[in-house]
Amino acid sequence: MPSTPRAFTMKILVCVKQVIESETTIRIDDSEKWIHTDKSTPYRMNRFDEFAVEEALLIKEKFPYVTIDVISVGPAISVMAVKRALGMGADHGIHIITEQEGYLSPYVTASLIASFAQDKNFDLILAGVMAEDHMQGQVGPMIAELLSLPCATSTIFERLSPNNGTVYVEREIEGGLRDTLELSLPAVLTIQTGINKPRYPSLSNVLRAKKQKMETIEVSSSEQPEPKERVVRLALPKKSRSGVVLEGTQQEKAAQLLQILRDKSILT
Amino acid sequence: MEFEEQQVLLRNTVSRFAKEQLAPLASEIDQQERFPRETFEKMAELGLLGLGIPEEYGGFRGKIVEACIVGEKLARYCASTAASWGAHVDLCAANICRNGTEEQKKRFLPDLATGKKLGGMAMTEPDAGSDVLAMKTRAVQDGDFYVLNGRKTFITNGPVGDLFLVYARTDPKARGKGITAFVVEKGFDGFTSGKKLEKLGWRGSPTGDLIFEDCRVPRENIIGEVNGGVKILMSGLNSERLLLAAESLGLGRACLEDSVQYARERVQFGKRIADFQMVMEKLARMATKVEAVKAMVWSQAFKMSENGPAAMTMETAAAKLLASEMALQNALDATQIFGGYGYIREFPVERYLRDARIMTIGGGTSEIMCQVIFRELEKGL
Repeated sequence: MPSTPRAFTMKILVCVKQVIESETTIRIDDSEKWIHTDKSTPYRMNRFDEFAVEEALLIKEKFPYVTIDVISVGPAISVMAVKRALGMGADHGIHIITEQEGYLSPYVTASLIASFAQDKNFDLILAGVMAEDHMQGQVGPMIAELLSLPCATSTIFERLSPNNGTVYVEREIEGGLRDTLELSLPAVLTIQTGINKPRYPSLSNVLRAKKQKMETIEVSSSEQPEPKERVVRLALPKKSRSGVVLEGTQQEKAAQLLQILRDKSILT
Repeated sequence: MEFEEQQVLLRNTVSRFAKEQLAPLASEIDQQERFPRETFEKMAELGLLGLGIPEEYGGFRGKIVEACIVGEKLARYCASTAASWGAHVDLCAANICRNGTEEQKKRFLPDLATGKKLGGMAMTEPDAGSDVLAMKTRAVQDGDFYVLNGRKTFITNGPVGDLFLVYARTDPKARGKGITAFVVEKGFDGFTSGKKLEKLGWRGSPTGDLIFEDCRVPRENIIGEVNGGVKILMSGLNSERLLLAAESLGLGRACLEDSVQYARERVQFGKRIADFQMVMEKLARMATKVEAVKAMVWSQAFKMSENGPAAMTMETAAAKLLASEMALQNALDATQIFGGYGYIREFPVERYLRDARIMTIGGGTSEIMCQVIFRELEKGL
């Protein structure tokens, strides 16, 4: 990637993921390595990625010469995350279709995105800070590493200076404190929730989405880089006990509650 | 009968919007009998208030399939909001789209599409409900104006709307052939909306009277022809009924989904109540009815999108009949499954029941649906 920013065009790539709706009751499949899904399984765009898409749109509102590409790596259903981003106002969509359902190593995802982005001159690559399903938070930083770009994670504020070729970033750190950084473009930012308020796709964009250009890239398993790790086994957490109803007078109940809290080391 | 991709996107978008924006307010607007203006502003932003209005008038296209998709999802989370939205896009805007002149469309539709004005429709009167052609509201020509006198009642959006499609009698001697459609706007001299009616359900969707006292309506606000109002009125009935069927579907589905979730969580006699066969059967029957209505609504919606609402009188009456009765029955079953919790306001189920009650009454009662169906049967004999 050339490191000189171009003043009158700017390209942003936003990485998005389609995940299973978090309130869904999940069932582990027979292989014990993945979650059973079928046609009725509800999916949605990873919440963290929605903030990344919105941030790109806000940048575009400020700098109208910006174009926004949205990319997703995954099975057929992933296209819906891209379409949603187009509905929100992104310009182009790219779907890298992987053959298999199931666990996709962040390294594989990052490699596929990096090799797509390599010769496309993106000035900024945005991703959610993590995906709400696996919460690994690896794809963004790995893309940066693979493309040798500077990277800021957990971005809670950004201010782009296209003319200086930099982006000023505030990162959220422990205790609500903030790190401030300046990165030279091109750069990768992973976006924290709360940075903005993601918009809903507008009806005009949704009804137009069909006409919008979607690029589909098929990748067979043999073309994918080797994952660096594998899933050994998935298990549901042990079912926690249902609630205990304390009985007796108010004083007795208070004493019982105190004992329970002490037993659980919540109070000492 | 497969949804197109952008219809799936529309469904997902509206479903999430309704879940995030309508559901949290549903109980509040029901208890306070309050119109959720803030929700309508958000719906306008999304473009939902311009659904079905051609783009050249500031809308977002979409046919009856799209309207039903939106109607179902809004009603799934808030039947009141769905009702007010339906009156705006279908009863008012869609009819002006169908029957207005180019000049009228340019004048009325852009403000409706953007939500700057909220629309409604007025046919019912205190003495003309099912027998709507018995309406008495008079419109007498006076030069370039028509002077309206009378009272409409049970008007959705009546207390909050800005622009209404109003039917009035221009020929007292003719019954069906003496009615004309007018667009009446808030602010016209002699036009007032009466007090908000207190209701059992749909409480977040204000209903009221419209009162006309020497209200002067310019001639250019006549939709269609003088004495040709019944045609305009009838042209809207089939789509209205199908949309109400879709909203009933949303409501019936809410009853089912909440009941399934509750039955899986509620433990009595040491096991989930879902494991009791009597509960299981109830849930299975609720789901079966939802499936039946789903098949009916969507096959008709696709057909209507393709061929228009005419010649679908029997099917849409049947869909409205079946769907509304399903919603009501599912709401009764849901309250039964929830037991005491189905009867208190902390849970949405008692609201579903109150909201479902109107479905077999509004937009043509079940009895009128049966009459319509039988007349169509007779025609075929």
